[in-house]
Order: sequence, then structure tokens, then C-alpha cells
Amino acid sequence: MIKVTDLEKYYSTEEIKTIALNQFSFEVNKGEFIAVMGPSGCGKSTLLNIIGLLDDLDGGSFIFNGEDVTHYNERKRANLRKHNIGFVFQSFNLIDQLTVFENVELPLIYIGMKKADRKKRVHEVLEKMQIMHRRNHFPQQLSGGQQQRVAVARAVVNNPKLILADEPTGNLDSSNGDEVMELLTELNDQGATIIMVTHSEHDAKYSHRIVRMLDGQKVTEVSLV
Amino acid sequence: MIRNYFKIAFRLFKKEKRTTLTNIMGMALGITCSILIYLWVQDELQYNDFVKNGDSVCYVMTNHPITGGDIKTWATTPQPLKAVLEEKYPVVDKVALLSWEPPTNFKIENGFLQQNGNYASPEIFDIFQFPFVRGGHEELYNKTKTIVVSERFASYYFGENWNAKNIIGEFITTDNEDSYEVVGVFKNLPVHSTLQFDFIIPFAEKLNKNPWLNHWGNFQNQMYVQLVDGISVEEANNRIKNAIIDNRPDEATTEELFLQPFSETYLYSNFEGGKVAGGRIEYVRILSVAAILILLLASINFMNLSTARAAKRSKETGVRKTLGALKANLRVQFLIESVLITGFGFIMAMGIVSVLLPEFNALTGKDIGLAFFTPKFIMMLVAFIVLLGLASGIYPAFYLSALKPTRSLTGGGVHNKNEAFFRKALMVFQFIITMVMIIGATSVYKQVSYIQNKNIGFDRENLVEVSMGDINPTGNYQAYRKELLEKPGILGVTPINQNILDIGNSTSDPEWDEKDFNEITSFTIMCTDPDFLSTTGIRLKEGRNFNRAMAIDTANFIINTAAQKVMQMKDPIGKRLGFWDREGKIIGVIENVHINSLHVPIEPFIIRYDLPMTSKLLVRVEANKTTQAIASLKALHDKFNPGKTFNYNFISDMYKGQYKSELLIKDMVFYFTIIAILISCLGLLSLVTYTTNQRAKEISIRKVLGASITTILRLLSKEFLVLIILSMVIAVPIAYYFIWGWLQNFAYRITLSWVLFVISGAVTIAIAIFIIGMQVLKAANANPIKSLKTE
Repeated sequence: MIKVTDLEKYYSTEEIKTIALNQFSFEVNKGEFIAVMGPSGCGKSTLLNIIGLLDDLDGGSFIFNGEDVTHYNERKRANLRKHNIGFVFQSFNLIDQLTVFENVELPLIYIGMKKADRKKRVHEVLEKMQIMHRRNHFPQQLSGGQQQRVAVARAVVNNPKLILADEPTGNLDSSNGDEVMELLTELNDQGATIIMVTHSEHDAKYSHRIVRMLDGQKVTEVSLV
Repeated sequence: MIRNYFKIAFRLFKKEKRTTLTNIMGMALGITCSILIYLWVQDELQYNDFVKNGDSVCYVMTNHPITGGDIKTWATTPQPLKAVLEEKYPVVDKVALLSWEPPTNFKIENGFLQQNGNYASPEIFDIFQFPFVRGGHEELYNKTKTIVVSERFASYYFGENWNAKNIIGEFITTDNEDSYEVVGVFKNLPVHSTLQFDFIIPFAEKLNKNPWLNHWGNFQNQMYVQLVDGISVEEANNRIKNAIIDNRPDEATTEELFLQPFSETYLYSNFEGGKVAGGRIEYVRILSVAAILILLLASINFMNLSTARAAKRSKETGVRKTLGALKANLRVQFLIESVLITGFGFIMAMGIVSVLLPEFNALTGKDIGLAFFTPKFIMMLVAFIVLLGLASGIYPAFYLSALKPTRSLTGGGVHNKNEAFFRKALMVFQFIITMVMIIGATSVYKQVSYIQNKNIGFDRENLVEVSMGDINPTGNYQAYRKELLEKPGILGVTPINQNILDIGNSTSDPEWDEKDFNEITSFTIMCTDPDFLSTTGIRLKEGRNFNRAMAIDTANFIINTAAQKVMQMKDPIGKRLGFWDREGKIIGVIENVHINSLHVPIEPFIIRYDLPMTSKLLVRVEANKTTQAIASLKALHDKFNPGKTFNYNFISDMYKGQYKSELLIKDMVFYFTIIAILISCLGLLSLVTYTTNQRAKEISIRKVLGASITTILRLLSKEFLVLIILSMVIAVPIAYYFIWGWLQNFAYRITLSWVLFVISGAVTIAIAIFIIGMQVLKAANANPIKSLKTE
């Protein structure tokens, strides 16, 4: 489903140039659950941003679903993103001014779904995430675990083919963390491809394959299945 | 999706009440000013646009060349010109003459009714098409002892229910016992008309009484023409330019004619070198520019506040982008917010305008009502709000939508060098405008106070002008004088022939030895008696005053220094001088006094001891005894003028009246500058808040490392002060340029000293330091742990 070859990414300031990704290559198959691990600054999040089409790459190529997206413009990337990719962040990134329902509804608005259909779909997902009773609350009124469940609900509401999770349990206690990991596993079982960046060996065990990175390069790749 | 934008906008406003309110208030202030200025400008522009025939109705002006190549433009024409234009110049369709008259008193039961009106040729009604409600103006052509009156006049004279009576054919009588037959009642003239009268008597009647008006040399009347259809003003000007030169039979002359469209007479009333040189239009322009600048200030504020809030909004932007929002979606969202803010600002502004309108009317002497709320006005406003909203929101919208989601989600991405530069540039621009306005307001204030306090060569306080009425200057005047001087509170009295502040009487006839007859010099003439100098307080520089005991003195003259200069006399006393009917000597020279407005230089001035010409009295009253003095004047007036109305005017009031426009502009510029300062301060406040928020972590670390509050204050203030000083450096020459231009309107003016600029700058800097200090102190005093934790 995803094939990146010789990915390169630099960040430069006036004086120094930092290499975030250095000749990074890997492949992800449909239905896989991958954990990406490595110390801070090794390029995990950069990789996730590039795969999520949030960031440009400076070198290499990127095939998504058989399509070469390396040189896609902003509009094309946004279009691909909103139909195919769901994001879960460590800090949840819910919009404070919107209710739970409205936050989850947002991706459906951007893909242009009709209002009645949206309502139905959001309710389905909220039920599934067991957060329905909180649908009219604002994010700040929820616990961290609840917020992350809303974030996951938002990530899956438009049935994305790929879910990108950036340390999804990083801000949660262990029981809430496990709950989120169960949710992700369940989604994976239902067919979603998942790439998750994590520091936690515990969380990584939920995945099918662990990719370890250092200094923008892949160091090891271990299959757990 | 749009609903979602509105929802988010309202929730955001609710959550960030302070920022939103600052934003709305800034907008409201800006819009309030603009609406008020717009209303004033509209009102000004409405003057004289009621004429159906538009530019084909013109005022006839005359250009009089004088020595030194200069040209004086007069709004007067000789009477015989009317017939000449009608007969020999086919471009002219109709010509109307109009006299200048003081208010006239009409006898009514138990007293008098004072009304303004003129002698005029009946064509005035054909040209302006003022409608009649009773009768018409045709009879004015046939009979000279006729009158047409306005509805207002009719209701005063014949009572409220004059409509029910048949007043056509009734006779009305002036206090001079002249009776006129009413032949028509016309609708009151439009308020926005420079032409104002409540009655018209045929001009032929004026000619019967003053046959000397038939002379070509008497430029005494106003003249209006209507051009033939299809003839442009320019073309007509070319044809009639030499109408006086070509047709005056008695002597060669140099006066040229030109036409000014009636619609322009109100706004363009100044002439230089025989051409239009502005007038009130300058104030219309100044205030229009001020309105635009103030709106610009408010817009900039909005931009600054919105981009300053970007840090808070960046997460939302990032999330939306991650979820598939396009830049365009985000721009629409932010633009909707700014249009909403502008809309709220507007609603608030309308509230303020309706509250301020009475005050504004009092300030400007206008009568603007809420009637301007026409559908057209509202449509225009809606378009304006949307446009202003878009203009203000466009930068924040583009800026915010361009943030990279990867950075904005991690809280980065909002520190951008270009963006910081842009924001600073906006602030500098804002302060340039503000400082130009402050310097402008200060200079206008100084010039106006200069005018008000200037020593014009005589003491204008406690000086009263009264009409002479039936007192005969060569007859019972001496008895009147003797009796008046015995009354309490009266210090002096002198007869004069015209208002001392506006001597219209001028001639180039005076002759002296060694006069160069190729040069034309115009002298203003005052006819008076030996008490003139003591009553006015004008000082003799050399020579002597007129002497009542010396009969010969009625042929002698006192001149001013300007006259001495143009006559090129080193030692003028005893030199020959003659004009009109008199031939005599110069016996005295006075200092230059301002007998005209300070807009024009002091003119050569000659004083004649000429009682028969006088028609008014100038009375010096004692300070603190004015009420008593006026009572004495009235009592004596009634004794010498039984049955006539007593009118008086303080010269100091008339003096102020000469500078009505300047006083108005002083007040308006003052208030609008205050608002500009307020708006800019709001902007500065937001920028300082933004910067201190951005640097909260830095401040905390510095504090943890031992920095004192003073050090931090200095560190943070420096950046802003540099910008404000930069603004000042740019603002000073701009302000200097404009103020210098404005001051050229005055022959007598303040000098632009650097002190004025320094003070204006210092005031701005002081205000800025206060705002910066307050905000920075708040940041410096905050607990460092808090901001370090949130990082």
C-alpha cells in the first residue's frame, strides 16, 4: 500500500542543516499494523508527516496505493488525505471551540457528505467508541482518555484506508492507554492499515512489525507475527 | 460548512471576549469617524446641487488686474453689463442681477419684522426655477412697487394661516415707509443653497432709488446667467471674457469676466491670480483623507490583532488542514470572521453615531438627521462592511491558512521573520498616520489660536457696531454723540461707512506726485471722523489726527504704512494726495492694521474725514459694563430713530465669524486625532501583548537567572520604542509638507518650529511608553514557573 524509497528530508536554518530522514526506504502492506520506534529526534514524526502528506519530501519517492504522490501539489494532497488517511496525535488536537460531535463531524464536512448522513455516521462511531453520552461536551470538559477516544473516532469516521498515530498513548495513563491500543487493534482487525510512532515497547507489541530508526535511517525491522 | 464557520466564530468571540471587544471597538471607532465625516462631506457636497439646469447656471465674476501682475477677483459686476450680455452675447440665455442688502425691517402690528431679501431682476426665478405657491413673478417685470415673498415670510407677516387668506394684492410696508404689493409667494429656498432670500423686490426699484448704479464703474451687484442649451461653461467664458472691455463706452478698462458654475460657488470660493484656488473644498478633502486614514488605522489594528492571535489559532488551522481542509476553506473561514467583526463594529458605530449626532451637528453647525438611512445608504453600507471586512481580513486569512500543519500542530510555525517584519511595518505605518494627525491637529490649533489672539492693530474687544438709522451724520449726529458720551459705559463713538473688519470699498483713483500711472494700485477707503483713531485704538505712527476745528481737514488724509510703501514716500507728511472729489494732503500715518481677514496681506488703506458718507457707528464700551452700555445705546437709538429696530454687533464676534471654517476644522481635527490615537493605542496594546506572550518563556528564564524587572522592561520596550521613533522620523517631513501647504492659505501665520514636532513626538512616545510599560510589567511580574511549565 505504501512504498517509500530513499526518502530524504532536511530542516535548515541560516547556519545549520539538520538531516531528519536519510535515504529511508520501507514498504507497508494493506492491513498491516506497523510500530515505528527510536529515540527522540530520529525522524519518526517526520516520516509520519510525510506519509500523511502533511510535509514535502526533499528527495526519494513515495507511492501511495499504487500512485506516485511524490510531486503532488497542496490541493491534490489535501484531497487524497481527506479521503484516505486518519490521524491520531499524542496531544489529541481537538478543536476547543467545537463539541465532541462537531469535532468528529469535521472530516465528513470536508469530504462533502450530506448532513443527515453525517449525523448517522458520527453517531455510529461515537457509539462504537462509547463516547456518545459526551457528544455535546467540549474537549476541555473531558478526561485525557475520553479526548483520545474522540480523536480516534474523528480519525476513523470517514473509514480511512490508513491510520497514522503519533504516540497515541503518550499523554494517557496505562489503563486509558491500553484502551486506545485495543481500539486501534480492533480497527486494524476490521481492515485499516496502521502506522504508529511510539516510545512504548508495551504499545509496540500490539503491532505486526517494529521498525527501529536512528538518525533518520532505518536500523532494524522485526516482524512479530 | 458555512454554518460551521459562523458557529466557530461566535464561540471564539465568546471565549476571547477581550480580544474580540478590542477588535470590535477599534473597528467601531474607525467606522464612527468615517460615517460622521461622510455625512459632513455629503452635506457639503449637496450645496447648490438643486439647480435643474446644472452647469448652465453660472455666477459672473470679474477679474481686476492690479500692480505687480496680480489679479483681484470680485464677485460683483456693473449694472449695464446685464443688457449687454442679453443683447450681444447669444451664448447667454438669461441674466439676473441681485443686489446685496442688509436685513430689511417691515412694519407689522406692534413692531417690525426683520427679513433678508434682495432687489433682483425677475429672471432670477426663471434661472433657478424656484416654484411659487401663490401668484408668480411675472408682475415683477411690469411694476416696480411689487414684492414676492417666501412662505416663511408670509407666515411671519400674515400669520400661520396666511394660506387661507388671499394675500395677493395686499401691500406691505418697510420701516422707510415704502409700500409694495405682494404678487407672489414662493416656496422657501432649499437649505443647501448659498442663495438665500425671503423676499425679492424688482431691481428696477433699486435703480430708481440709486440711479448712480447705472454707471459702468460701479461693481455693486451679483449677477447670475443661464447659458443657452448645449453651450459649455468653457465656451461661454471664451465668448464673454471681454464683454466689459469691448462694451464700456466711457473709458478704457481692463476688467475681464469669467463664469463660475453655480454648483461650485460654495466649495470653490477662493481665487488667486484670477483663477479658482480652492475654498471649502480643501476641508472636504482634508477630512475625507482623514476618514480614509482612520479607517486604515482600524483595519491595520484588526490585521495586527488577528495575526497576533494566530498562535492560538494555529492548532485549529493545523487540525483542519490535516482533516483535509484546503487553504481556500480556511481563508473563507477567517474572512467570514473579519466580516462579522466589521459588522459588529458597524452596529456599534451606528449606535455611537446616533448618540453623537446632535453634538456633531452643534459642532459643525449642520442639521443632519437620521434621514440618511435610506435603502441606498444601507445597501452601500453593507457593501462597505463586506469590503472593509475583506480588506482587514485578507492578510490574517492568507497568513493563517498558509501555516504548515506539521508545525502548527506542534505549536511552532508562527514565528516567522517575514511575518514579524510585516506586523512591525504595519505598526510603523499606523504610528506615522497618528503622528501626522497629532502634528496636524497641533499646528491647526496653534494657527487658530494665533488668529484669535493676534494683535490686529486695534482693540477688537468691547467694540460695538450699530446702525445709524435716521441720525444725520452732518446734522443731529453731534447732538447724539454728545448725549451718548454722557451715558455710563460709553467710552467713545465714531461714524464709519463700512464694517471695520471687512472694508469692501476700494479704488485705484488716488493720485499723488510722482505716481506712476502705468501702475494700478488698489486702496481701501474708510470714511469717518476724528474720533476714529481714539475709538478703535489705532495708533498714529507719525503726523497728526484730523482736527474738528480745522475745516480743511475734510480734504486731508491719514494713510497706513502699506499705503506709504506703495506710494514710495520716505516722508509722507504734507505730501499731496487726491481722489474723487477731494484734493488735500497726507497729515498722518498709522501702523498697518488688519482691516481684512488674515488670509490676505494688509492692503494700502486711506482714512478720509468724510461725514456725509458714513452710515454706521462704531462704539467703544467699557469692559464689564457692556450690558449697561447696550441699554444706553438702545435708549438713545429709540430716541433718535423712533419706530426703528435697534441692531448691534460686537466686532469680536464678527472677527470670530470670519474664521468659522478654521474654528470648525480645528475642532474636527482635534476630535478625530483623539480617535486616531485611541485606535493606534489599541493596536500597540495588542502587539505588545502578543510579543510578551511570545517571549513569556524567555522572560521567565531571564528571571530565573536573576534579571530584574527593570532589565526586562528595558529589553522589551526597546524594540517598540525604536519602531515609534522610526515612525516619528518618517512622519515629521510628511506632516511638515501638508501643514506648510495649509498655512499658505494665510498671509499671516505661525512659523513651523521644531518645538511643535518635538512636543507632538514626545506626547506620542509618552503614550506608547505607558502602554508598553503596563503590559510588559504584567509579563515581567508573572510567576516564571507558570510559563516554563506550559512550554
